Amino acid sequence: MTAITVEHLSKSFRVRARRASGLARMTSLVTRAPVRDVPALSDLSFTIASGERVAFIGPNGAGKSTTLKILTGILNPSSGHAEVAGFVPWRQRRQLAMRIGIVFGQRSQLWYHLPVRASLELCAALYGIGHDVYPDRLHRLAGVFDVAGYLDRPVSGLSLGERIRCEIVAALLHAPEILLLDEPSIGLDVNAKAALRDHLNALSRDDGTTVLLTSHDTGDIERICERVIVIDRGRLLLDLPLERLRRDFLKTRSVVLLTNEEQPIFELPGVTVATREPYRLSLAVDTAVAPIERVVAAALARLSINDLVIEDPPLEAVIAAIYRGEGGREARP
Amino acid sequence: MNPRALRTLVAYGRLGWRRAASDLASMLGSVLLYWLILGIFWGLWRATPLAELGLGALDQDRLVSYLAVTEWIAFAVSLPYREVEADIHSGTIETRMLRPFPYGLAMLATWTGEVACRLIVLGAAGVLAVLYATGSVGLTPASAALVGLAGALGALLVLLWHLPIGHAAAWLGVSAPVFWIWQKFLFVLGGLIMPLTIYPPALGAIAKASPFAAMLFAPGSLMLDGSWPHAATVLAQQLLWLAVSAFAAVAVERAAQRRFLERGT
Repeated sequence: MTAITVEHLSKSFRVRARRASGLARMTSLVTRAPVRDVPALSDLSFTIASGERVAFIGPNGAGKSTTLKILTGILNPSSGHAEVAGFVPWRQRRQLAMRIGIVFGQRSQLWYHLPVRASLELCAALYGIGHDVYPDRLHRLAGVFDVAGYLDRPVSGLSLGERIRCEIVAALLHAPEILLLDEPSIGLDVNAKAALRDHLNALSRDDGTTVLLTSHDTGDIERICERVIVIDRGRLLLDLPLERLRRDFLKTRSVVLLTNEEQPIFELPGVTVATREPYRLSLAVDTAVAPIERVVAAALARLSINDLVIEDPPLEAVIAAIYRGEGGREARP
Repeated sequence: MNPRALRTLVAYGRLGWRRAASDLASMLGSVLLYWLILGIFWGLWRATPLAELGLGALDQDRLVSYLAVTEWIAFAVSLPYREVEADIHSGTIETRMLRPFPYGLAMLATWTGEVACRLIVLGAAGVLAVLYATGSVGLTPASAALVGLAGALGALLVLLWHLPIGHAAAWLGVSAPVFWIWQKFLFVLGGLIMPLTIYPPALGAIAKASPFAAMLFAPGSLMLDGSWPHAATVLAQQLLWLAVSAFAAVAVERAAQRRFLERGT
């Protein structure tokens, strides 16, 4: 079953050219400056099945927020079609709102001067959460995100991390079937991030909740998502499972050798020495030239090995390489 | 209206009430300023020879009672348009639009809760001030209830206008200039200081035909004429302007949202 369908979605913003000089500015009072269309999204298409956990990533200005705004119904597309939970977002925004949960990490939906509980009670009324269900649900979410201790404190007195945790509780209170998260872990400490990731995975696994996540924290992507959509300049760049992203874009891997030789020496085409220390050698392996099996075999044959570690480069480096246009090949599922 | 919408309205109203009740400094400041203005005008009216000015039908006590009502409404409402303006500036309006409830109605319900709390506190302060100044409130329980109702409707009418004023930021970037001009009209055409009945006839007629008269002068005039026909006229005038203002507020909000939907915030 499809949770989100996006077909040939495009969005352009009309921008009026600024007139720089003083005289030109004066004339702009009586004449209109020329208008130009700035494309933000171009022919974007993808589908997300119910229960999928998808990372939606791209460099700054790629069109992530524009897409999320269109999918939540607060921005009209210039052309194309989209459906979220069976609703056309820009025509059925309020009906859609009952079915989705949204966290904008940088924007608050809580009342700043009032206790957190007051905002959550309002959410219960907004989403028609019954008095019989609300206390249990609040108790469970407050436990998961460890917010029970400050439900009665004003939002203004919370740290950023505490506030974000409360925002997430507010977004999950009505048990949405689709969660749209924009930088949800911003400001969270290690424990809170882990709790958020575990809870999102549990929601997807147990309730079939669909998750669409934008984040610059690759930890979120690695631990929550099973699929990655990469966009750049409003166009789809990649759409593939996370594992395949790793496989297709891991051109180099790192091999660390702990040796009995004090000054180990190792040479092989496609292999460069990254660092050399007494009894330790760190190699960067271009797997296209030197398959990892051959490197390991050569190392075992030429050196006296105490230990050997093979590491993938961090996902962060993979994504940075994709943004720089150094990706292997365009891949779609 | 379905039960969920009603429950949501009540929840927003309660939130507004709590917000006003928790802001004790602002409430206390409003009460002190309210008393100060009543005190100044009490002294001013006492020093004014009303009979010589041809205003013999009005006495100082009734003018102070009138002012107590108009200022009661003006102080209770404060500056709520700034919340809409701030939401537009910060982009928070996007998160508010994502809720399954109309933004303007949510704002109005919150402000209504807030103003209800302030009306009660300032109302009590006004009664004390009038009692101190004149020795009597001069109202029967029924007419006091009528003044309360007309005052609440007047405040609601003022609140309704704060919605389009706040939304002006969608086009102008700021709402304050619109508000300051509108507020001057409210003070002058609404009869904040003096009843419209003592205005020059032409200006008085214009003022009475404007919505501002229904906001301040109409409830205040019940302190000058407590007859049932007059009360019925006041309430009918207020209901008419409430309907017109609600229509205008919805139209402006929709236009602003259309702009956000096309251009973003």
